Amino acid sequence: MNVDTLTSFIAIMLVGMVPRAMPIISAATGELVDQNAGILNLGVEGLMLIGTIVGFLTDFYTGNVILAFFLAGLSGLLLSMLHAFASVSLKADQVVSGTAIWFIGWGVSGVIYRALFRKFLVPPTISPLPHLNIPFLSTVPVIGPIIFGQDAVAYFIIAVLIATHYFLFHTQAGLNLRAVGEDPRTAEEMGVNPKLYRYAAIMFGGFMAGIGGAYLAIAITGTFYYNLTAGIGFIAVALIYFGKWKPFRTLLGCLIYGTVYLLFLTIQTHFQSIPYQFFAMWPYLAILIIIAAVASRSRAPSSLAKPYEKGE
Amino acid sequence: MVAYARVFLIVFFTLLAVFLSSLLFLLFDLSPIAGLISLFQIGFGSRQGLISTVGGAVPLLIVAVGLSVPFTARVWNIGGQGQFVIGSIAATWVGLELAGTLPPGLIIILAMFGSFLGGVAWVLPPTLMKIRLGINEVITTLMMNFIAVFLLDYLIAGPMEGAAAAVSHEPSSAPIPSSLLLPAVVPRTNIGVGLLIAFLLALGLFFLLKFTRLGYELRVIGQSHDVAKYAGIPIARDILLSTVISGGIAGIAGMVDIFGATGILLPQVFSDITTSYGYVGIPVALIASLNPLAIIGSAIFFSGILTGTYGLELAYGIPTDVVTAVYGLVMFLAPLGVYLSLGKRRLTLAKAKQ
Amino acid sequence: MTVDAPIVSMKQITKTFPGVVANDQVSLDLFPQEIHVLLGENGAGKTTLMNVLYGFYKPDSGEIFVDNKPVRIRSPVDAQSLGIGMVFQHFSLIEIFTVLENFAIGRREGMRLKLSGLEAKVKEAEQQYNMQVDVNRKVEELSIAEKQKAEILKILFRGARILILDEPTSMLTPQETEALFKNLNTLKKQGKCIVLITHKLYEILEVADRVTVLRKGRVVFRSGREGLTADVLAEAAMGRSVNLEEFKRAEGKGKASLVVKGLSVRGDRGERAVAGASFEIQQGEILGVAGIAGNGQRELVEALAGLRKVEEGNVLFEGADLANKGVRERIRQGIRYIPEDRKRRGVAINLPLTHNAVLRDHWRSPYEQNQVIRFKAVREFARRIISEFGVVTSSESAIANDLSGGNLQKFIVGREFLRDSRCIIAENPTAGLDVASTNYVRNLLVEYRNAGKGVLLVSGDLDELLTISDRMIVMYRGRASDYVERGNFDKFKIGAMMLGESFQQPQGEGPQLAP
Repeated sequence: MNVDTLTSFIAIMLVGMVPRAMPIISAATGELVDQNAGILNLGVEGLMLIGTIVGFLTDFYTGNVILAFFLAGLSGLLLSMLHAFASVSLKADQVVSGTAIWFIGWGVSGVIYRALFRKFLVPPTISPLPHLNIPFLSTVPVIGPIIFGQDAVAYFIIAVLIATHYFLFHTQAGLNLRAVGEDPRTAEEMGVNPKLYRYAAIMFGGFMAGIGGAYLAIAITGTFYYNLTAGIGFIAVALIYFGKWKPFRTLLGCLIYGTVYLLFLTIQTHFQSIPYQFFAMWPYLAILIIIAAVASRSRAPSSLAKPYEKGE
Repeated sequence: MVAYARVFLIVFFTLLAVFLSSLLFLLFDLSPIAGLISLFQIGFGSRQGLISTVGGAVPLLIVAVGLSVPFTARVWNIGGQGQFVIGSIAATWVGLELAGTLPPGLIIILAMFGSFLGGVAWVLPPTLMKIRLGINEVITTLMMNFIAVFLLDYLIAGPMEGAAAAVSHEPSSAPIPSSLLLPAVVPRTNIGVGLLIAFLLALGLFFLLKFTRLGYELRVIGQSHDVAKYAGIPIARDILLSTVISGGIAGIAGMVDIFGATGILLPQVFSDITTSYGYVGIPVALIASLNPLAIIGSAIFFSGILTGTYGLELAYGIPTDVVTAVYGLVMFLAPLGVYLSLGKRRLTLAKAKQ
Repeated sequence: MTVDAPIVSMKQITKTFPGVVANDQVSLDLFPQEIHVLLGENGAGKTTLMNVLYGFYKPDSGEIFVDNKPVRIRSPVDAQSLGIGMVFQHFSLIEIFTVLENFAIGRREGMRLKLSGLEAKVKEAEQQYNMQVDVNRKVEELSIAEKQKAEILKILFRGARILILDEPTSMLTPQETEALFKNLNTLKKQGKCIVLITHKLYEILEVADRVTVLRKGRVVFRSGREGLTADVLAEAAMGRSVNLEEFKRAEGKGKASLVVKGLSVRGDRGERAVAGASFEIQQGEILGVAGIAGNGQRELVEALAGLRKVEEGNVLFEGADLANKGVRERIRQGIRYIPEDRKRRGVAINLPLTHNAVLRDHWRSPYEQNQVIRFKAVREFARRIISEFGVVTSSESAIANDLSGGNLQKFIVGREFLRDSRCIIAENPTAGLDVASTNYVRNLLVEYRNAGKGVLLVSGDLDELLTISDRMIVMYRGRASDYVERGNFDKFKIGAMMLGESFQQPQGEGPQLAP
């Protein structure tokens, strides 16, 4: 294999990798803000699934992609408010509450789907999102299509990620939020309302998870099937750990994961004799390795997953 | 008195959750009330339904009582599903390899042993990561689930593919010989030896949690690591023990499922939660306040709901995914309900003492 | 120079908690351009009073006036808007933020975080108050003195006219203390009012313009600068002497029971909490450890109980060195521990009393046999504790959280006492108990001692120590003083030692840990 084919091989792989990583990036961006405020939301998976079904349905029935994404984000936001109520107002255990949200999202999305599509024998599909090929730039060899040839929503997600970075580290509210995540008592003493910030963070997380789920259905698979997300919500949470709670580093983690995933997918097509499941499990293993490698050097926001009692 | 109030509240909120979920029936032009009545009738009322309910409750019960051990220490082993799957693989492999060479009873025991070891092996990496590196066990155990499920599907599509599967293109392993199936009152269900195993485990773990030193120490650890240290409790060691127990037991549940009911390995990746005992075990254990004896009841309840839902599917076309929503809602509402009513009382007492 | 109107006037403030009257009709006026010292022993009510002013507590009765107008202070935010700022011993700073970022929390200056603009303003403040802080360093990298400076500057920056400092010098070196006082004087001249909550005599003499002394919730003494001496202050804070005859023990020296040699222990922040302490507890003696809270007693006790690492030194119990051998080894050897923090450590708050009864002994017989907990024995033990120690509770199965603080304490004391032991470490064992229970516990300690065992009694209540100790040592800034024999018990003198005056260390022992 010579250099040319190798580069084009990599290029093809990376082009496919970026969309694949987008749902994770979206969900991770949302959860990132959550965790920076001290909240652990393990229901991301369920929130994504809700986003998936709502997005898919809206697109299927109305053909309006923008509406689809918006409603998907909204439904994720609404469901996440359950978690907010439980963990912030009632100070319940965040692990239990998050897992419950996961189940709820999982079940409700499956039910809605079957309810509306039981008449179809074959799962219906929607046309995939068109790629915005930015003129000229996208023709640059190798990196052109990868960076400049994506669809609009992908750019939106990246824009949100960049905005999140700016928010967290360059705005007053972002500073306040991080203060809440470290030491809610001090933050409160300085005039910041921890409950408010945590609610807002959770709702943002829900919104982005919904968007991510919708992206998976609309832009990648073009269809919906049971448990479509297959754990990427949790992978997103794991990658935040890798990203040390910072947006850009988390993005890096997501891209690395996307690459690993696609690598295995590609290898698999060359080894058709081995069932695909063998390759499918490696990305999850990779996550474990990544987390273990980063473990000792990571420092979580100090109040993560600890309920805050006013006046403590 | 407080204990009765708790039980009442849990039952109340559980039923409330079920009712709320039944609103989803409206999507299928079915009235929630009518649907619920049918559901309970089918699940708990008919002979066929009861068989399905009790039989299905067996692996669920086993997994859930196993989970009650680490959960007591607030160690969240979400990997029950993976441990279950690995256990079922190990047991099947033992059964297929040794079939005919040893007396069936012995093979069954070896299979149980193998499934236990499989479950333990599957829970060890996340546990070690927690103890040594301080990594939260929820994500790690969950990742292991996905690996296990894909591993299973790979094995039965490849190395462990059964003869029938090669023809029908529906993946499965070879079936284990019927001589190895656990004796049962109702054939091909777990209402027999499987149920017995489940009861024994429930009793045993109840005893463990309530009366042994480990159970006591786990309770204290779950309360506060500070107090546990004051009491001289070896925290890391106890956490390890608790996860090993629950992993192994989840593995046994896998074995019981194969040797008692299905008799064959089937793919899991895109199956729904209804057969994912490892996941459903979580709310089953939580609702029962981690009490293995109460878990018997909650497992039957959850299983009954599932059976009822299958019935609703046949009758009205309502998908079984409803059940996942039910589980989730129950898991969400029941602890909250208790917390809401009793938590406030605790809160005011605590403030007064400052 | 005097100014007529006080900035803040607290009138007849009363604040009670269940079982204790923290502030009893306390009145206090705070004027500009003064350093006002609040002095008193532990539990005298000084911190409570300031917490009321700062909005953490609501007083049961009484009024607060600011600039002659009555106000209601519902939270620290209210207090800050009135110009009242407070610096606690555990700083309100976020460790991983820079100092500048800490200043920026909660500001209402628009959406963007304009740190450079803020930095300029902070520099102005630094100039104005003559306090230099490197604002671009992370708080966790700063020394305690620097953190304190940052915190003070922070509250000044937010418009504080009254600065309340709670035990500000407890963690500082003498040089740092000097620097702090210089700064405080500068601030004073600029019109601020500084309230110092402290117990250190010579510091008070150095900087105070006015002193208010609290004892057991009441104001017992007020004074300006004139005529203030260490004697006057110590007597005011500590009160008169106590009957020493009552609990006197039989003469004669006993064998050494627990011997501590050159013990050095680090505190939570890595600082040197115990610096080369040496003493011994004899059999048949109660050794009292006096000292204002925060001088290393807690760390000392934790190290002795097996809950904290011993950096240097030995802990010898009947010959064997137990230093880092863990909690269970101590229990095996017969050393028991009554902790001060009963909620967070002494009991598992959501478990029933039965479980808590064997919290420390569940792993040995008769409560455990072959891995099984013998609940019959456990229940009996719990019942015994409850009946013998007069614990008020519905039954032994009651959840620990349902007990009042005093009863919980009785339970814990009972638990440690009823098990076989040869030495008890008691940390504020009578805190929160009523008079009858307090006497009961003290009698227990005395009987225990009479039976030939040793007691290490760490207490913030000097009266208690004077009443039942046979000998005493005083802890001050991590060092343990020489023994004070019962015959030489002089409340006044010991009080002075607790406040840092005439502190004598045993010969040849010096701090070994680097700061």
